[in-house]
Amino acid sequence: MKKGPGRPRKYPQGVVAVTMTLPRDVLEELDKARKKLSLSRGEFISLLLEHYKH
Amino acid sequence: MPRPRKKQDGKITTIYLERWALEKIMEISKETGLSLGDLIEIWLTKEERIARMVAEYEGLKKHSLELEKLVIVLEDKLLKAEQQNEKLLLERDALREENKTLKAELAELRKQLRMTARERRAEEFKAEIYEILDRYGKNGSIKMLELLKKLGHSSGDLKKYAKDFLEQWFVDDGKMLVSDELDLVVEKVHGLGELAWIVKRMSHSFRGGLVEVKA
Repeated sequence: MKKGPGRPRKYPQGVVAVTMTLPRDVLEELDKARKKLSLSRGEFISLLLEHYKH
Repeated sequence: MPRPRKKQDGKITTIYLERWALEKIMEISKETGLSLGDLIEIWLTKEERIARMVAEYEGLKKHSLELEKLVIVLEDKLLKAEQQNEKLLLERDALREENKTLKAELAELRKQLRMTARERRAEEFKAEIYEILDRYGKNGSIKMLELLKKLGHSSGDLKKYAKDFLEQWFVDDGKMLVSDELDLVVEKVHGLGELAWIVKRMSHSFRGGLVEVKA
């Protein structure tokens, strides 16, 4: 199992590009959910994080 | 815990994340020992939470749109109210001006009402005589005969008119007759009757002696 996200590349605007390998079905699920809300993948993940509880 | 997947099932992808989001993911990943892919998979499979989150998000979006519409309506109302207020302020200023004029007119009317009938008659008579003095007088004076003629007494007993005029308005002061009401003096001419006497303007400041005012 891979530990931690992929290596981040820095962008001046404070947005970071992260390259990773995701299972196809997870990626499809992610795209399906984010499109419902008209959000980008990054924005959708931020939304998930806002609702994340341990 | 999600089941392990084979590498060939995966797809390489790049996701653009806000820095705070990446930092949080790294923190969670460190705590749980799971990769971002695993975390996303876990989050997505918790359908109930996702459904609630989506509903909440959509609700907020809808509410935001409603608020935006409300802001537009309120801004429109505010603009109209401001225009109305401006119009009312102009009307108020106009009404204040009108009120000022009406008060002045009312004060004048009250003043006139307070005047007795004799005072009103004296005002009118004085204005009439002063006009004659302005038009036909010489240095602000005119002969009684001329004055009576200009006053419209062209026939009849002019001497009687003169006597009545003097008796009604003037006080005998020896050499002269004085009328405070008409602001006039009549200068007697020695040896001649009232019709030959001279009618003159009198200064308002006259009290002890006569002051002639040149026309």
